[in-house]
Order: sequence, then structure tokens, then C-alpha cells
Amino acid sequence: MIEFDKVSKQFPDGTKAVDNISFRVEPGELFVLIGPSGCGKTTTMKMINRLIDTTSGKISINDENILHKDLHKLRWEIGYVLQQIALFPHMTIAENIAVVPELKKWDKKKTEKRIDELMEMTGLDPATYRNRLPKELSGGQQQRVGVIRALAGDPDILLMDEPFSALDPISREQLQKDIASLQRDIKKTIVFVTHDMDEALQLGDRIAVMQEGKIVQMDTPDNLLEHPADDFVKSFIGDRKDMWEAGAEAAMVPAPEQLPPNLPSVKAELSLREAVRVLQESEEEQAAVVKENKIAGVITNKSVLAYLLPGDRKEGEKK
Amino acid sequence: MIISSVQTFFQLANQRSDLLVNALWQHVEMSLISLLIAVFIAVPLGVFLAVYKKGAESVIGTTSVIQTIPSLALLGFLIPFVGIGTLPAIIALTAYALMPILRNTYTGVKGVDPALTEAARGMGMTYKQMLVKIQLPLAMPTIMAGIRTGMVLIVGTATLAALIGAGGLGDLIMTGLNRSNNYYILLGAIPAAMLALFFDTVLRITEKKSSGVSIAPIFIVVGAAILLVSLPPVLQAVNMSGEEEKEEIVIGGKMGAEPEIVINMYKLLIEAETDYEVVLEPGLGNTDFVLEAVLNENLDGYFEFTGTAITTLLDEEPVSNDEREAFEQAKEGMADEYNLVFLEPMGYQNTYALAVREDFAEETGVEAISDLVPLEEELTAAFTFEFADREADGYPAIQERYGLNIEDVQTMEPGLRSEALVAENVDLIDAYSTDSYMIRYNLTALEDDENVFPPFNGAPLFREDVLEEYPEIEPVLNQLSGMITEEEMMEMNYAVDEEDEDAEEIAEIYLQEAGLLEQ
Repeated sequence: MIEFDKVSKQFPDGTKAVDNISFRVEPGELFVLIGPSGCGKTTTMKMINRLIDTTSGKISINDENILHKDLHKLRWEIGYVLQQIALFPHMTIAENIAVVPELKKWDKKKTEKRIDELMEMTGLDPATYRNRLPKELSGGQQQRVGVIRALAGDPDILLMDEPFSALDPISREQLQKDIASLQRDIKKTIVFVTHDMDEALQLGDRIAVMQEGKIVQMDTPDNLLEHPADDFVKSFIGDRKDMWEAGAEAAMVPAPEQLPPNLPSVKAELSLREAVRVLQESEEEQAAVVKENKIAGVITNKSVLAYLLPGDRKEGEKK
Repeated sequence: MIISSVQTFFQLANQRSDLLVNALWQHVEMSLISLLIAVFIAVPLGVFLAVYKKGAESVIGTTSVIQTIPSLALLGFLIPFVGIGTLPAIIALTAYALMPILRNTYTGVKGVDPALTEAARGMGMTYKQMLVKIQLPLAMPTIMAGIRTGMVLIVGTATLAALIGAGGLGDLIMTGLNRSNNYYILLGAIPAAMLALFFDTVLRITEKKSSGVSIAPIFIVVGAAILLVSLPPVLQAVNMSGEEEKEEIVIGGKMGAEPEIVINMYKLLIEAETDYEVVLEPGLGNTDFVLEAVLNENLDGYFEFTGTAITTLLDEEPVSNDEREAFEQAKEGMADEYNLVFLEPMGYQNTYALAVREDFAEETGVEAISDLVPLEEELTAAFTFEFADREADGYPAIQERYGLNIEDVQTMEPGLRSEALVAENVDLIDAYSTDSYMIRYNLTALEDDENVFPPFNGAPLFREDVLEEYPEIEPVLNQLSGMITEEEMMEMNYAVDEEDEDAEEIAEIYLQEAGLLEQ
């Protein structure tokens, strides 16, 4: 559990990056900090592992003030994933992953076992990739290593600083899915910084929207969408709300040749929100979209997600 | 032609292999010690500057300034403080290598991607761990490039260290330049170049092996280098222990065959008639270097000419063209000014002369310097820097007294000007009357009909306190008073310069024939 108590950060040049914020991150929660650049989200995150120190206020982890802990030990227990990935280019993949275990002086066997286990968990074959250098991997693969490097020392907390923003849309989408499923298995306390609202909505258990060093709204994705606190949040969410209000047709894909019987059906004009509800209640994989008394296509969980995510959204489908 | 040249070269290399091996070793030792010191200073300093970021530019700027000092000037500058020999050479060479190593270390460490250092910090590394595991390995290729640059600089500049008695391959090059003997120049220059290539290769391989992987290979190389340079002194120390040391007198001589022959005579005589041991430092760069070394007590004495003492060291006008009066003037002046004592002078004069080719003399009928005046507009001349510069007895004096204004005057190295004369690039050079190339090239010395050149008699010049401490050497060296004719000296010089005889043997033969030394 991470707790911020009236924390502020003022830089020597006078800018107040973080202004008297308080919040708690519960164990096992994926907590997203979001906001435009310069809003203080990254500063907030870096104060947790003391890459930046607070000017005033108190940050505690499991009720212990982080200033009272040994700095290096504190960091060993907090995994850190960077936007720039920042794998050490002169070390092999295995050596990169082993950094924190070695700092923690694990014995060699345990470290080696941990490396294999983590690589397998994220779909990197240890036999193939263990001794490669970072530059021999694709960007997506590199950031997978970045994530497991952060997890290697078995930390309770993971800090992720816009981890996927440097990746191409396809790798980004894949890694977002992977991190979501990984989180279901490992249940770490994750503080995740992003400026991408889609990513925040997809991954976050709770989202804190920041503006000028203050948290303007802290809520679950649903509440954030439905009850934005003010115009800033509303504009930051953008046309999200409209997208859910769009007709089911918008997220439709062509129907397969063979349609199973008893398929739930929705009218093309029905809002996407309602259509998804129908789909969920039916417990079927897909629902037929009926337009002018004909089946025009189907919606599936995947097609809805594809519509909602920016990488796959085409301008024409927006309306 | 080419084949015979190559043969001659290898013959020389073969004959002089002992000299070559010795010079090569001195060169390696001097270079490695300097490089190691430079690395030990510049790498930690560079890291420090990169980490603390304060004052980096001014420190690196200072090392850049050192870089702009001409190497010979730096060597000369150090003599008053640390004397002559290997120590000032090592200091100067180290200073030269500082800049590239420091700059590259600083740039290399500072150039490490800040995201990587942030990752390292975020993962809980201490500054030291970050430096050793991340920054240094990543900066290593840049640091190694700096070390390689420094190394090439050192191996090259070390050839100049011969001028202050540090030995090395520069000895061979300087001998070659002095004798106009290209084979000697090559015998020094080729191994120097190969040495630079060899070191460069070793360092490049080390760099490849360590490139971004670890910094272990660099430690291996540094360790090997330390071992290499520290082994001989240790062995020497072991051998020396138990041996009783005789009292040593150190005698220096300027560059060239003649001073080397004469100081060998000093050595032979002193060692034959007293219990002292004499150590010779031949081949020292120029008059200022040698004088500084004597005053600084690195040398006890050296072989000097009366004319040089009067005009260069005392900056006086010669009172007379009489040899004896000139000697008295030099002796008195040197004692007053520097507390140095001139012992009795030898018989021959090695004065400045203006020399022309024999065919030129016949063609134009020139016999004396005044005969040149009508020809001044067509003449081309090559003078040494020193001659062109000496107010009292150099070209300025000639200009004044003879009214001679030569159209085209070039200045060049002593060894090169006789070549230029023979190749008919120039018509006139300054020469020393006993130099061997007077014989070799059939040169004609022009008569100094206005008596511009003061008498140049060679004599031992010692510090007063040395003569008080070792009073026996005065009568011993005074045995040479009035000895050696110009003919004899020229022949001895010819034997060393042209026939590559050993200066010590030539000195010994002369002393034996003169009855000063037992057969």
C-alpha cells in the first residue's frame, strides 16, 4: 500500500510540479496517473522510488515513511519500467534481468531460475533470447524484457512510466493486453503513468487525472467516463462518451458465413453501451446487428475493443 | 639502387642491433611509463569531472593549453626544475597525453544515455556500482580511443626526448639528422612507427574485447604494462645490491660526433688516472639545455667552445681575435656569471665558416667572404637557426661587417643544410670548420677576411664545486691542453660520422697515439 499525504514538490527554479496531493494506492491495485505533459504525473511517480525527493508532505509504503528506509533497499523493492525502455546495451538479456537479483545478492541458481521463469511467462524463449543483446530484439520484445527486469527482484510495487509510448501501435496493443493479463496473475501494486486515456481506461483499476500538479479527479474508469468532474476532465476524455453512445453498427464486423442459431441480435441504431450489455448478458461470443430487418454484420468483444482503441479506429467509423 | 639501399639499411640494422635494441627498449619504457601515469591521472580525473560536472571545461582547457606548447620548449622548460634525462621526458610526455585521455574519458562518461543512468539508479545501484557496471563499460570505447591517441602522441614525441638525454629511438634519428645519414634516421623512425602501430593494435584489440562488455581487459593491459616497465629496475636493484658504488662524475656533450669523441677522451683519462667513475651524457639537444643541466647539477661538466661561451652564454662582444685573449675572456666571464671553470683549451679551432661547393668556388673565383658581396643578388644560402640568430658572430654580424645582403636565405636543421648545398639547392651554408662533411662533400671554407668569427677553442667546462670536490680531474684534463689539430679532429669526426666508428674507440686510439693513455 502506497500513501501520499499532502505531498508537494517545488523545483529549484520555482515551478511547483506537485501541489499538495494525497491519495492511497491499495495492494494489488493498478493505479493510473494521467494528464497532459507537465501536469506532474511523472514527478509524482518518481517520488515513490525517490528519484525525486519531496519538498513537503509524507509518502509511506506499508505505513512506513520512505525517507526512513535505506534508499537502495527501497528501490530494490520497487520495480521500475521506463518510457525509454533503457535496457543496458552492453549486457545480455539475462544479465539485464539479473541486475536487481544480483544487487540483492541472490544466489546464482535462484537468479537463473527466476530469469527463465520470467522469460517464459512473457513468451520469450529463454534458450533463444537469454544471451542476445538488447539491440537484437524488436522494440516490443525489448519492453517485455524491460517489464520482467523490473519484476526480477520480486518487488511488491511496480512503477511504469509511459512504458508503451515509444512502441508502434501493434506492439503497444499487444503489450497492453499482456500487462493486463500478467496483472491478473501476479497482482502487484502498480503505479502506471500515461497520457493516453484509452490505455488508462483499459488498464486502470482507478485513474487519477492530474492538472497543474493537482489531482482533479480520482475514480474508476466507468465513473470517470460517466461523471467527469469538470470540463478539463471532459475534454481530456475527449469524444469517448460519444463513442459509447454511437450506434452498434459502428463496431460491427462482417458476419461469418455460418451463423450459430439463437444468436442475440441488436438493432443497428442501438447505442454501443446497450449493445455490449446485451452481448454480455447473452453469454454468447457475438451478437447479430440487424439493419432494415437484415443481418448486416456482428459485433464481438474484440470488434468493440478494436473500435474503441485508437490504433484500430478509422476516421470514418467514428461517427 | 633501391635494393642496395635496403641492403645497406639492413646491414646497418644488423651492425647496430645492440644500439637499436637498447634504444627501442628505452623508448618502450619511457612511452609506457608516461602513458600509464597519464592514464592514472586522466581517467579518474575525467570520471570525477563527468560526475561532478563542475570545472570540467577549465580543467580540460588547461590540458589543451599544455598541448599547444611545442614539445621541445616543454622539454627545455622542465630542465631547471627536474634536470635532464628520463624524468623530464616522462613528465613532458605524460603532459601531452593528458588532454586526449581526459577529454575522451569525460565525454565518454558524460555521454552515457541519461535514461540508462536513471534506470540504474531506479534499480537501486549505488553511484559506485553504476560507475563500474554501467558508465565505465559504456564509456570504454571512447576512453580507449583517447588512450590510443595519447599513446601515438607519446611514441612520436618521445623521439625528441633524445635531445635532453633520455635516449630512445630519437637518439638514432638525431644521429642520422646530424650526420645527414638517412639510414640512421630510418633506423630510428621505422621502429618508432612500428612501435606506435603495435601499441595501437594491442589497445584496439583490448578495446574490442572490452567494448561494452566489461572493463577487465583494460586492467589486464595496464597490469602487463606495469609489469613490463617495473621488471628491469627490480632486476637491476637485485643485481646492484651488495655492489659498492664508486664516486660518479657526470659529463655531458652536445649533439654530434666531435663533442662525443672529446668527452670520451675525458672519461678515458679520468678513469685511467683516478678512482672516479665517469658517466657520459652525449647528444644533448642544444647549448641552453646543457648549460641548464650543469647549473642544475644534473651534469658536473661538459665540453664547450670559448666562442660560444662569449657570444651565447655571456652575451658579450669578443674583445679580441686572439685565441688566448678570447679564452681568458670566456674563463673570466663564465666564472663570474655562472661559477663555472674553463680548464685549458685544446689546440684546434672549430669556428664558424661559410662554406661553398668546390665547383662553385672555381666557377666564381670566390675565396673570401668579401668576394660574395658582388654576387649577393643571385646567391641562395641555408643557415642553421642558431647561426641566423647569433648577433655577435652569426649572419647578422656578417651582414653588418661585410655589407652582405643575400637575396634568398633559408633556415634549416644542421644536418639538412649540407645536403641542400650538395644537391645544389643552395650555394652557401654556415659550417663548422672541423665538421666531417667538409671532407665528405669537398667543401671549401671561405676566408673570414674581416675577422667576424671569434676563436672557437674547445675546453672542459666544470662547476667550481665539482673541481673542489674532485681536485684530481683538473691536472688530468689539462693534459689535453693544446692537443689535437684541426686536421686530426676533422679526420676523427669523419671516422665517426661517415665510417660509423665508435666514438669511444676513436678517442682511445688518439689518446694512445698521443701517449696519454697506455696501449
